[in-house]
Amino acid sequence: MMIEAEHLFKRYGTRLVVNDLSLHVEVGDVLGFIGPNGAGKTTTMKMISGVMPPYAGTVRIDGIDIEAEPRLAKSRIGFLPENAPLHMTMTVRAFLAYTGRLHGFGGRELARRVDRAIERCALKEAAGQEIESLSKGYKRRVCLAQSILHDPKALIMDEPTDGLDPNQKRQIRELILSLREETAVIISTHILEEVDAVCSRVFLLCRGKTLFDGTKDEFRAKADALHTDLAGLFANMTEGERS
Amino acid sequence: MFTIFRLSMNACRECLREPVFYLMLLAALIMIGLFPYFAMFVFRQQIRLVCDSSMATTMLFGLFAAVLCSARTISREMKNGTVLLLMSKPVSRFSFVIAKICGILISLTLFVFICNAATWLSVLIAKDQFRLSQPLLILYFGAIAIAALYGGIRNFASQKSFSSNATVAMAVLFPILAAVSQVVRARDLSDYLKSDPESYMAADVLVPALCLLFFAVWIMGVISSALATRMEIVGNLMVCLLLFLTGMVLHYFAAKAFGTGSAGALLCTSLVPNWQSFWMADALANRCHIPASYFIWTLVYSVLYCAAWIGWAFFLFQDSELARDTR
Repeated sequence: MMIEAEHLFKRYGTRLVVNDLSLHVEVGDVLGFIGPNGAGKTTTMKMISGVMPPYAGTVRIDGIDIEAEPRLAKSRIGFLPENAPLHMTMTVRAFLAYTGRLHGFGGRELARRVDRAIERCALKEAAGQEIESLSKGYKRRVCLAQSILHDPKALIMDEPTDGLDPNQKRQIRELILSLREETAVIISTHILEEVDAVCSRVFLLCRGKTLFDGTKDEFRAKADALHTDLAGLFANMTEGERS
Repeated sequence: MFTIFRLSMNACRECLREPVFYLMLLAALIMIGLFPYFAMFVFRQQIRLVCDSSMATTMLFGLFAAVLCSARTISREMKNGTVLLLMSKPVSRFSFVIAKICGILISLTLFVFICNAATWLSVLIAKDQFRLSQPLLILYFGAIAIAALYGGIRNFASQKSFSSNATVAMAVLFPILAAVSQVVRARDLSDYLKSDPESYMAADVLVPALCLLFFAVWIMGVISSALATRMEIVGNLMVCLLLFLTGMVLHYFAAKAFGTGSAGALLCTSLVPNWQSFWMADALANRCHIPASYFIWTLVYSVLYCAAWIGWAFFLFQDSELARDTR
């Protein structure tokens, strides 16, 4: 199993935001991580990517415990945070080279990887520009490029297509589908259309608790059984939980 | 180790790219350059006044630069979420903190280095109480203009940062100018005038006093970096100013209250940095050499103080939730 999270808990002060969450993602899977705002999606993403330690529970990437061997585990993770935070004063190429160096690449290998990431994310035109001067779509693609530069085995994306135009969304989705051949992918999103377009599995979270964990077909079958669409099922399950 | 080096170089570059960093340096240099004017007709106190004012400017602007650099490289990264990117790479929180502090200290070292070179020049500009060295004054402000021109050309021609290029140019021009001027002045003056404190400040007296300012600004840099893991720029500046003002007077009152060398006075020195230890204005006024033992003692004190605050910085960052706005 490429990504294993077992019995994760997270508290902010006295508020429990992730409550006994377990998930498993294999190479070839694209897990759609859905839930209403404040469900605990971003917090879970941060815990899985090793950015934030869980209050309790374990995360293993490719069998490596992220708490015990963080450097080794993180070298296998590609993380695309929400809102695509970047160093705005750097050029695209300089930023990618910088993140590549943090992964230990240098010389020709680094140049090759930077070129490949630029090509895969269609950033050739913007490679020499300062990130600050780029559009939102380009910025997101730069952030995506840094997350795949080192060929991660686990790719964790927080709202990867948020704010993109339809063409850019399609390009990113195609890229995600091409990556899943050798990568386990988790996508956090509000957009159910995205789940339908790229995900093979669905994980529904509300108030830190797991409401659904299964294949996309099982999720759709559940909607069909209630004579509704995916949005209707989402509303039904999450509002039921809230009340 | 390489990760720390790369992160710290990047942090330093970010600090130097900040237009506010350049503006602060520029303001400090203009003030230092004008002090010889302000200190004219002061009855054989001109060099002393220039030294005092320039050192105070370096220290105070060093404090502002320290807070600005730490807010820009630590607080802002935590606020806008770029810290998430770094933390998802094979980078530990310890490496992050150490690297950011090193980057900030490198840029502050450059800041103080330029200010110190400017102070040296300023002392040479103040020839005596009735005259200034006009050619040197022109060269002083010419160096600032040339550095700005260089930064502008680099920015226009190759889209490089104006601020960092202008700063680096000043870091090259000012020490060269100061060293050459010192040699020329020393050669021109007779032995009689060299012994006159109004006419001449020997390099071996001035340089150690200026070097102590590095230690003071490093301490400020480390304190503001530790605070930046939890505070925004305004809060950070307030606390740093409070520590600065307290550190100026606390030890005097502590020594009076508890006795010099007592446990109470020692406790105060451990809690709040004793800025007076780095302030050698009186020694300069009397042309006293700073003993090597004092210099080493101050260095050890600074290193220990910085180490303690680095520990605090690590503790505060280890326990902090990252990227508050993106959560």
